[in-house]
Formats: sequence, structure tokens, C-alpha cells
Amino acid sequence: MFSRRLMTSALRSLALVVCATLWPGNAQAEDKPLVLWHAYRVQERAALEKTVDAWNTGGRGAHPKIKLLAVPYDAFADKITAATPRGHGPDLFIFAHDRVGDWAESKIIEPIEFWMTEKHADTFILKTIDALCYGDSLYGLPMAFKSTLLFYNKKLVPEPPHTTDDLWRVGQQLTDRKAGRYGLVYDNAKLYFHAPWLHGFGGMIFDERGKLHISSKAAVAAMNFARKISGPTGIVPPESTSTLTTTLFAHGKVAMAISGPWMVGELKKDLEVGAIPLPIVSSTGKRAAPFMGAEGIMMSAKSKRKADGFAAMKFLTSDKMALLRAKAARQPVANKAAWLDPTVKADALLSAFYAQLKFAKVMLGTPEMRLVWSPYDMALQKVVVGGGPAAPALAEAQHEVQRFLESSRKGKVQP
Amino acid sequence: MKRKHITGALLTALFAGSAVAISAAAVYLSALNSGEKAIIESPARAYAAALALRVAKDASPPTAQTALAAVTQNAKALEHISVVVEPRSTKYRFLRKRRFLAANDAKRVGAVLNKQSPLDKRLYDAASSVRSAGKPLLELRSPQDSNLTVLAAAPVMREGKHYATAIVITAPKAPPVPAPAWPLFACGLALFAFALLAALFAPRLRHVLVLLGVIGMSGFSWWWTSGVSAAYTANLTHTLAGLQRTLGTSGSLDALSASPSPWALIIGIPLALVISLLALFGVGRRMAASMAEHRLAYTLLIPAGLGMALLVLLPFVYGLALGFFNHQHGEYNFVGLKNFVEILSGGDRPLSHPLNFYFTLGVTVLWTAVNVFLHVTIGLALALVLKDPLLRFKGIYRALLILPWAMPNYITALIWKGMFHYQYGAVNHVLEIVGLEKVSWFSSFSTAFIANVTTNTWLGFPFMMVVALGALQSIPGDVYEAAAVDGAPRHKVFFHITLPLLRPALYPAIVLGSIWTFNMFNIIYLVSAGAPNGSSDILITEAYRWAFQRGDRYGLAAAYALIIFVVLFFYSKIANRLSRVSEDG
Repeated sequence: MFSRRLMTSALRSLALVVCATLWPGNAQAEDKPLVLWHAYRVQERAALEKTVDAWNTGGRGAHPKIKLLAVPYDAFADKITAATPRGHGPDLFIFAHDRVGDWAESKIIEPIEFWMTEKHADTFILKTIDALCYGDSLYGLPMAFKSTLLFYNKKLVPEPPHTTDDLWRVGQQLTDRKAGRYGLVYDNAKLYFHAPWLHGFGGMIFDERGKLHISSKAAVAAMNFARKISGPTGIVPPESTSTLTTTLFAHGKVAMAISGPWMVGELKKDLEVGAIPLPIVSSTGKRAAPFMGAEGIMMSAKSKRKADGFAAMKFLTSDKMALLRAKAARQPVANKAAWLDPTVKADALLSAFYAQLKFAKVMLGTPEMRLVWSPYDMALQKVVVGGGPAAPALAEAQHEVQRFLESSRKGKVQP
Repeated sequence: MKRKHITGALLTALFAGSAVAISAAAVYLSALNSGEKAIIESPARAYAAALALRVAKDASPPTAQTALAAVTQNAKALEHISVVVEPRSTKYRFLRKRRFLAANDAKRVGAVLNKQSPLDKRLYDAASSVRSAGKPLLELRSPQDSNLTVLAAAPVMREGKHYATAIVITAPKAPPVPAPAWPLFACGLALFAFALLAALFAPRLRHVLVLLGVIGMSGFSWWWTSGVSAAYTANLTHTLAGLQRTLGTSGSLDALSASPSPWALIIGIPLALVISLLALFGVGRRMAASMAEHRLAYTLLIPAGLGMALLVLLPFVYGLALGFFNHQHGEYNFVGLKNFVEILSGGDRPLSHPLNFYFTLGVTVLWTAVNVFLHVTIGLALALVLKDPLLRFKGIYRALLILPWAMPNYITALIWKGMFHYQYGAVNHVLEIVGLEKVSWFSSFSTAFIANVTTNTWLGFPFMMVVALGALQSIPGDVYEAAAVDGAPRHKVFFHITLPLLRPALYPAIVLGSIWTFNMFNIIYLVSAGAPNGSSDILITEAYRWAFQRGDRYGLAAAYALIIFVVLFFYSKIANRLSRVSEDG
């Protein structure tokens, strides 16, 4: 008897739950807002909220409103990849361009060039548009660009270095191993932060035809340079990481740092920080060129209101809204017009980013590029941190990436 | 008739029913994959290919329109058909103003695609895909109104260059199938009834009947599928012949073959057979007997059982299946045992290479052995000290010693990582004070390994201590008193009384501890992060890297996980047997 009563009540509550979930919602499809996911925090988030308010209170015309949803950065890409194919994702989202290739291939993001005009594309900085292209399609409208810069502590470095020879000289003067003081700090075992040297010495990862060039003389020279500055007589503290970069620079233990805009928020107000583009590599005369990443608004391929979505994207990346973001959040925005504004021009940090942009190299957003990071980081670990020879480490990285490329192509079945 | 008997019969029938259901589902899926889909797709493909061929011969707008009319004169099912021409290139490689070269809506010929129209967006994207891939495109999509449409597109080539794209959109109709699906269900019902009746009235015959039924089902399934395949071929031939006549040429209409996918059958039928064999060997009867005996227990177990099935069994089976697939851009392709071969053959890497499976396995085994040894030794030693009746402030010590265990282990791991830093870490600081050389912990395998082991020992010994402490307290005091009376020395007391009496409690703790350590992801990932060169990675972190850092190879990672499972499964089996032997001895 007991068990039967238990079963009945269990069934009854189950039925209630089912009814509750199946009950049709009152909201009509047309009234539903467009959902926009982003991973912005603090100032950038506030600025984005302002632009969305501008859309919701008038800018939208007959289009639906936008509803913002903040998603933590670490989980963002995986959530998009998991939720979108099943139709649970957002209509629009803001993310860096480095996954564009994967998402385009998996048909997670929508090509948007259908709605574009030449005049509209001209309002953006070309490199940021380039970053969001994959194949012959455009997959997002750029919001901002990001790259690394040379930050320096104005108190410790009165005259910031403009060449690598200068950097070495100034760095040597500032380094005092016993006291734990160093000239320069950066995450030297990561390709992202090593890229400026790689490009400055004339190296590259892929050429225009997609051929791999990891193991080249220029790449060896760049790695030897990084090994020299990170070595036992160098100017970089051992075992540098991103966290250590911020900590050491913030506490004045290290006078210069190669880092990105994310570091600025972590520094105390009273620290006098200068930022300039990365130096010229003395032996080649070329600029050290960091990777440039673009953040863009992308559209889910599963969105039900794509034309509306594009109108919203266009509004949020318009010159007016970009200027608002540049002023309120000090974001290096992707619109050309915003950089003509006197307030933006007067901002030293933003100007440094703009100056660096000229020399920055657009990071590839292809699936192939994603296979490069891990083996290349391993080579850097061996050479720059471990002090081993550069040529064999790079040859092995090239070999390893080649293998990954082949094995990932092998599984692809041609329809 | 006995109640037990009826339950047994019902269960057998249930087995038979599910076997039939599975094989029916397999047949249906397989037919859907091979026949129906192809029948739906093939006309659209053929018309697009024919249109592309015809337009390529003479591509001026009026003749393109004539070609379109010629190709579509017999095809009433086509909803939309058009040829979209490629524009001149602009400043941006992605910007193209496409216009209609020919369209079934004659008014649109020559017009530019309309930016407000969702249909035009679809045509535009199809043209882009065909252009970038350089080959025909086929997509099935159910847009807003949820009606399935098929879009087929083929490139129109002129002088070796992509000139335009021929696009056909159809709303597929139900294809002609030689036999409807209902006989399958009828057959299943009949088998269910047979099994029920046989179980009730002819207990011996029911096994034969179940088996006969399933074999019959499988045969029937094959027949049905081959019928669908034949219909598909006939349909395709008919369409092709018509098109060849219209074209008046023998131009090739390639891209029409659709290979049937028999995977549903290959997996489904054996599964059905296995289930029916289980029924045959009386698993159902035994289960029924046990269920009748412990009815309340089973009823109470249902919610937990369902939860386990949902949260443990389902992901496990999913992972198991994933190991046989290769993942690429959201698509999974069956590759059989390739992933396992790649792992177990060492992937052409020498044995000393950190990415070689056996190297990683060696590191993992070493890691587990060293850790468990240290956990047990330190834990046991501390437990013995804490047991000392003369010790004061025991509670405080115990609380302090359990603290490392109580902290979230990733926080501990991150703190230790900081402490092992070359320049600013506490460990090197202490070494310097003592007058030793500073050590670069993460630049060689041995030191990185020591750093990992140190961290994990710090985390792991409290558990063993708690287990040992509990077991020590349960050893009766009179045994020790007897030993003291006999004048046994302390080490003898430990080896002949304490240790043997601790064994029953320590053994499962050691097995559990080694399984935890074997898969201790957090410590390896956070402390050494595999440095240097991935050599201090263990199997589980290696699997993670394949899944998320080296090109989304989920299949390979799942295969790794399965291998880890097999290793641990046999380890615990052997450990169990050993413990039984030692208990008997």
C-alpha cells in the first residue's frame, strides 16, 4: 500500500512539472528581444549597456529590442559551440575573432556580407574587417581591436627604448638579479607574446598560400633573441607568466612590460605608466609586430531574425556608438571616425594602441592556426625558458603542427 | 499460476519487445539514411547540375532563361529555380553584388538580389558556398515555417572560371517506398504476443520463439531496406533519363551518387540479438525472481537508478561511442578503431617522446605509485603519533592536519605553484637561506615531477591519516596488552598486530586513493602544466589537451578516456583479488 501511494503522488507531481514546462508562454515571437551575449566587464560593460539603451529607446525603429546577457569569458567559446547548434544560443554575440574559422566551418555563425555595402565597410579600419573574414565571407562587424604594447614605468624609465638595442641597454641598467629587479617582463613562453619578435625578425607562421613556415632562419633568430633577453644574463625574470607580468609591473619590480589593454585595469592609479609601440628590431630594421585581434559582433546561424539582427549589429558598431565606447571605456574601437575625435586623440594610451595598429599583424582566425599554439609554446618553453637550441625545437614544432594538420584533414569526409 | 511466473513471462516479453523495437528503429534509420534522403535530394541535385551544364554552353541572359525553361518544363515540384551570376570584384573580397541571370520569376531577371528578402539571402549564401568550395552544394533546411526544403546548387563554369551558380530549391514530397513501415510494428506486436503466450503456456518454447522472431525481423528488415534502395535507384534513373532527353546531350550530371549508410543496421541488429540472447539465457527469469523477492527494495531504488542512468550511464555510453568517431568542425565521422590504433601504436613517436602513449602511461603509473606510497606512509605515521594516549592537544593537531584536505584542491595547487617559482617562490627562498642552489623547478622532468608529487602529497595524506586513525581506534586494546605481557618489542607489535589488523580498512582506501591519484587532473594541470614539454603530463591531462588544445580531437580524447577506464578497471579487479587472497591467507 505504502509503495502504491508513493508512486501515485510521485506521478502526480511529475505530471504537474510536465504541464508547467509545456504550458505555452504568453510572449509572441515578434515581441521577443534579440539576445546578445558578451563577456565585457566593468567599464566596457557599462559602455555597451549605454549603447544598447540607445537602441532600445528609439534607435531600433521597428526592430525588436536587445536583451544583454553577460557570460564569463572563460566559458564563452565553449558555450557558443555547445548551445548554438541546438538552437539555444543567442541571436548575437561579441567575441574575439580567433574562433571565426572554426565557427564558420561548423556553421555556427552567419556570413553577413549579403547586407553589407562598400560604404559601410569603409567606416571600419581595414585590418579589423580583415580579421573577421574567413574564406570569401565576412562573419562579424568589428567593435574593437587589441594588441600588445610596451608599457613602461615613467619613474624608472625616463627615456623608453625605441629599438631592441636600446631595450637591451636600458634593460641591463635596470636589472639587479639579487634584488629581484628586472628590466622587462612578458609571458615569454607563449607564442602570442613572442609574436612581435617573430615578425620583427621577418618570420611568420603561415604564408599567403597557407604553407607552414614555423622552422625558418628568421624564426630561429627571433627565438635566439628571446632566449638572450630571458637567459641567465638577460633582462627578463625567470618563469614569467601573464599574472607575474601584471604583479611585477604593478609593484615596480620590473620597469617595462609587454602586455595588452587588460593590464591597465589592474594597475594602481598612482603608478605613472607610459605606453608606446613595440621597438624596432635593430638587426633587421623592422618593427616588432604583435598579433592584432579584433572583437566583433557576430550573428548566430540559428537566429530566427537575421535582418533585424544585422540592423542591431550595424547600430551598435556605428561611428556614434563607437565613439561613446571609446570615450566611456577607453576601448580601442574599430571605427575610423572615432579616432578623429579630439578627446580620443588626446588619450595617450588609446593613441599608443592606434600607433601600434599600423605595425600589428592580423592574427589568423583559421582552424589551422589553432593547431599551432600548443606546439609553438612547447618550443618556446624548451628554448626561451630551458635555454636549449632553437633550430631543432622549431623543426620539431613544425613537424608536430604538420602532423596535426594532416590528421585533422584525414578525418574530413568529402560530401 | 504463480505470480513469479507471470512476472518472468512479462519480462521475457519485454526483452523480446525491446529487441524488436531496436531492430525496427535500426531498419527505419538505415532506410531514412540511404533511400529516403537520397530520393528527396536527387531530383534537386540533378536539376541544378543540368541547369548549370545547359547555361554553361551559352551564357547570354536570354538563352539562360530558355535553358531554365527547358530544364524545368517537366519539373512541377520545383519551388524556386534561378541562376545567380557572379559580379565584378570589389575592394573587399567578401563584397559581391549578385544578380539574377535567369529565374523562374521572369520579372527578376537582371535584378540585384534584394537585401530584405530571406530567400535572396539564402541564394546569396548558396552562391558563396559553391564559389568558395568550387563544387556543387546540397543542403536540407527547415526554416522558420518548419517545412523542410532542399537546396541544390551547382557551379556554372566558363573558360575554366566560376561564372555563375545554378540554384534549385524544392519542397520534398514523401518518396515512394515499396512497403510501408507498419508491417514492422505489426511484426513486433505479434512477437510480443507470442513471447507472452509462450512464456505463460509453453515455458520451454519461448526461447526458440524469441530467437526465431528476431531472426525473422532482421531478415524482413534487410528486405525492406533493399526495397527502398531499389526504389531510390529507379527514381534516380528516371529523373536522369528525362534530363538527358531535355538536354539532348550526354553531358555528365555528376554529384548524384548518394551512398547508403548501413551503420544503423550494423549497430542495431546485433544489439537486438544480444538482448534476445539475454532473454534466452533466462536473465529475465532470474531478474524476475529477485525482483519478486525484494520488491520494495527495487521500488525504492528506482529514482536513484534513474538518476544514475541519466548522469553516469548515459555520458559513459556517449563517451564510449565518441571514441570511434573523428570530430571536425562540429561533424562526427565514424573511423572505427583508428583512434585507439593511433594511441596504442604510440602515434609514430619514439618511446621517449612525451606525446607517446606509453611514456605518459609510465609517468602516470610512477606518479600514482609514488603518491600512494607517500600518502599511506605519512598518513599512517601521523595516525600512530596521534593515537598516543600521552599526547596533549590532540584535537588541535588533528584539525590542523586535516586542513590541507579540507581546502579546495585547486587553490592549494595554485599556492604551491607560486611557492615553486624560481625567483619569487618560497621553496627556493628557503633553499637559499639554507645555503643551497636555487632550483628551476619546472625546467626538467624530475624536478617538475617532484613539485607535483609534493603538492599532491600535501593534499593526499590527511585522507589516509583519517582512515588509519579510525581503524587504529577499532583495534581492541587487550591484544596490545597481551603483547606487552609477552614482552614483544615495538616493531614486532607494529608488524604483527597493528598492520594486519589495519589491512581491511587500508586496502579499499589504497585502491580508492590510487584511482583518484591516477586521474588527479587539477594538480598536474595547475602546478607543472605538463612542463617541460608535456613530459610531466599524465593520461587524463593528455586527453584534455587532445580535446581542447590540439584541434578539438574529441574522438581521440574519448578513446584516451576509455583506455584509462580499462586500465583502472583491471587494476581494481586485480587489487580486489589480491585483497581476497591476503584475507584468506
